[in-house]
Amino acid sequence: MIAPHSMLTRKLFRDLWRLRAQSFAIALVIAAGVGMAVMSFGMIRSLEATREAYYDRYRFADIFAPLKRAPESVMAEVRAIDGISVAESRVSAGAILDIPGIVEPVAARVLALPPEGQPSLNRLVLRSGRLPEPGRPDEAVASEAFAVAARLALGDTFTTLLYGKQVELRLVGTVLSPEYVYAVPPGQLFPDNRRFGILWMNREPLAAMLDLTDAFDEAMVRLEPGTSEAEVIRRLDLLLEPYGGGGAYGRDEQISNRFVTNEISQLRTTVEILPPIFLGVAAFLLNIVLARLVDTEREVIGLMKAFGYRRRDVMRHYAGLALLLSTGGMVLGAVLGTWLGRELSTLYQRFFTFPFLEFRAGVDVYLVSAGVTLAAVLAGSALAVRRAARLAPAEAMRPPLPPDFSGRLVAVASRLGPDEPTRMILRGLLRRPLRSCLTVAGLALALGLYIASASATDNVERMIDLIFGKSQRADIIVSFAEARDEGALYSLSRLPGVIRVEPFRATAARLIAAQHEEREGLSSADAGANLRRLIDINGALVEPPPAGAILSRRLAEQLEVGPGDIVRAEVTEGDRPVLDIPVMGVIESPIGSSATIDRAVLNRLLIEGRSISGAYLLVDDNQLPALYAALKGTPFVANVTSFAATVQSLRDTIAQNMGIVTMFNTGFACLIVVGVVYNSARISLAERARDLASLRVLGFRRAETAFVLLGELAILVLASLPLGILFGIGLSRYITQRYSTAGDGHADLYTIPFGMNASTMADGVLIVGAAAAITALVIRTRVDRLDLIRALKTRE
Amino acid sequence: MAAVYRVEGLTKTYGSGAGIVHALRGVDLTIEEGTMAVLLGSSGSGKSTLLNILGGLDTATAGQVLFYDLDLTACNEDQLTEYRRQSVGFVFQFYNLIASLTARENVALITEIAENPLDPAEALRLVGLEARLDHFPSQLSGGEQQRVAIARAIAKQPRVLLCDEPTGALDSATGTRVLAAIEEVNKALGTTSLVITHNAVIADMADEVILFGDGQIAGRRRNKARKPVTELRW
Repeated sequence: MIAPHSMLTRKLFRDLWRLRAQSFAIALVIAAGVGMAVMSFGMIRSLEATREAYYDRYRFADIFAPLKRAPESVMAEVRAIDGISVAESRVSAGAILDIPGIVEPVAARVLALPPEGQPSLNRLVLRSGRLPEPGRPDEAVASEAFAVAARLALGDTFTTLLYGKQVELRLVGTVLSPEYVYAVPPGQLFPDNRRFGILWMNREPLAAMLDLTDAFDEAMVRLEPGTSEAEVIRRLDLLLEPYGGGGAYGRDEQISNRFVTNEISQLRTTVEILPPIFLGVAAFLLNIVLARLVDTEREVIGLMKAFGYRRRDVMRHYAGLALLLSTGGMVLGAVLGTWLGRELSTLYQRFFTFPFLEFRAGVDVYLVSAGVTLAAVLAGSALAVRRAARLAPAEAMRPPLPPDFSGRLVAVASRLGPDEPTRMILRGLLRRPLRSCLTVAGLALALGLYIASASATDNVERMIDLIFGKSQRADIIVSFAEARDEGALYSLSRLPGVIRVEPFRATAARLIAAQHEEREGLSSADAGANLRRLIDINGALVEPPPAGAILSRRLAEQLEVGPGDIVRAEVTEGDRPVLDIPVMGVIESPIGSSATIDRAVLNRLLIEGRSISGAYLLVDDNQLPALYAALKGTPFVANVTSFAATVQSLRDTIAQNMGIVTMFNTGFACLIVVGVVYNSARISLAERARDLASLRVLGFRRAETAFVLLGELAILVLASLPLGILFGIGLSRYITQRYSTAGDGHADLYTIPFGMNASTMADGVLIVGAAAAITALVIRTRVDRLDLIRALKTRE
Repeated sequence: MAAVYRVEGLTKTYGSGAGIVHALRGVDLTIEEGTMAVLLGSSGSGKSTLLNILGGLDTATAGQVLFYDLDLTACNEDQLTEYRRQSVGFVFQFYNLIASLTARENVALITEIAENPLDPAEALRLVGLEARLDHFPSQLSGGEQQRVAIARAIAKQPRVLLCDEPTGALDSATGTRVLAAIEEVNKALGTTSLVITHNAVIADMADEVILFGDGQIAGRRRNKARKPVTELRW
């Protein structure tokens, strides 16, 4: 396409050199787009490949079937189900750990290891030490992230409160498990490795403590290729129903896997939104730069044609310039994307514990990114290139007529401008309405991008405020191993530092409406409660109705029910009653999907006395150590969640990660602003050089002259601000919506509320304004240095 | 009669060393108030350089230029801007109109910043364009555009009108109309006018003709009587 020694090639490179500052600005914008695409696509690729390899190599189960208690002999029947290649049973329980150096009780999930050590499903990656020796009841291995965060060293011992029994466990190894890539405490969204851990110990002693000797409470299976997962789940449920089972689920509902899937979906959203913005802006910039070049080179084009260069030679020449100009951006983008991808994979390693996570984008990711960029570049340059090709040689060699300002739109400006320079500005803008609009759009995109990105922090802050400020206001939640009489409240209230105690009742159930079925808990709410209140996404308090349930919007959608409909709840605990519950209301709830019922009503439905599953505590901070010590020794307490610590760690995590992302996006937004403002101003300067020089000659001062050029920019920037804010709000809303509903339709983990702060918008306006002002200052020095005599000696 | 310009030993060089170019080689010149002077010379003779220095667009390498009592050679850029703003009207070969402003607005551009301006319509009437007030440059012929440029130059009632090849881009008939406008302004307002040209015929309209060659004044002559522009043909 480009002959290396031809004069046109020389011209090409000299043009490129002459336009180097503008080319650089465009290349940076392209680099941002390509970088984002390479990073996101590459990361999606890497995450998916890593996950697949990890799951496969460590035999992650396809189906999990929790149940209450079944004799080991049932496993033979499980294995007999068609399509199951491997099946394994295990026992597990929640526990409270007393870790030296951590005042609050640490929650843990304790899983059993078979006598042969490694389980056949969900095999462990040994990171240090060894697995517990057969026959040793006191040895355990811990998830690596937990051991690191809790500062546990091999050989350390710690007290474990398991099912009301205290045992001393000794850490003999650290491991990773495909089941806990994302180890999130029950009911929470972010890992809290210091206060939540996973332990594995020999099955025999664990089963003995749980009263599950020769029995199991969970079956896991791996399917043969081509087997219907739904069918196997159905048969497992049928088989295990008598043993308190019936809630088997696949990987799509496995919590850790769901978070990984959710993350991949969010990355996809990023790819959908950001690179197109950057490439669109780059295409626009190319268009205005090339259009201007073609304008100034009319004579050259005429000459080329007069000498016998063909149309396609001319097209090739200018298209070649556009491509050459974007090549730098693409290469830079590929390097940037790879670097960002590596940084991101390091960041991911903090949350997702894969044994390996290497950023590998793959050649096709680079090729596709390059291809899309080339398409954008060619689209952006098409108009200018076509105009160059169409210029007739004779016409091209005549000077162009003075630009025509007699249009009607332009005439409007005469009535608006208070003086001649202002009229020059307004007419300049209105004469090229498309370019003005695109410039405004480019700036608005940049502002919107910043606002949407920075508001992610606002939204999460709003979510934290909703959940922990308005809904979940207890300092500590205590859950019991089994439902107890309300009298347990009295014991809790007498613990040191407890100021207020409010009970709750929760039970696991299968909710059924027509053909829809969801595994979901029924939870209680108390009218007038203070420590835990039912609220909607806007923070409005919702009181529990005197009968029936309030469903979250997502649950209602999944079950396809609305107020007035009946939902059947098959409780999977206790006497396993089957209840028909009327839906009294549907609310948009910030976290998870839920069915909430007045506590007294729930007790009645469950045909029980005033039973409770746990309590919310408001406590005196000064007495926390004493309270924690007491809780660690209270046998009926199965789990303690401390929210003071959770909120802080949540805030830290978010601040850290959002900080990095926001920094990147601020940089990207500035790139766009600088790219757009610089190019617009340079073009404007080139077009107006003669006018501006004339003004200087006629006695206009430097500031008065610069006003004409910078005033035009100022109007464009000002016009872009409200649009940018609107776009930012829209984009933020879209992203929160996409993030909350992303993925496979099961992303019912949380709903991010929309909570943009005015200060975020103000920051965006300031950043865009500052970037524009700095660029304008650079341009202003060029206005000051205009060569007056030359401008007057050249024809228009 | 007072001298508007007194020029002594004016030298302008470009470049240095072996590549040095002498645009002006020690020019001495006095222009008196109300004079219509024509600077005649071939291209490259240095006449435009002289005009640019007189107009405060360029600076001298050596020598002195006094505009009344103002030493232009001692002025900084801001002072030169003020000088142009208050005292000088320019007309250029390529008109240099602002394409986005109508004829009237092009003139108003100057009257807005001048101390004692004419009404823009009045200035345009002086150059015979009263019927084209609200036309944009793209709607005017070359001659009309140049007359707008003249109206723009004289609307501030400058003390000098400097015209650099005002007919250079025009045909004879149109050029005559433009020169007639300059003549009219000189007569009606008494504005000291300097017209640069390489066209010897135009010299007949002047009170004084300054011949330029090789960066120096090659000769001066006073016309006994100014020939009316309408009688000029080339």
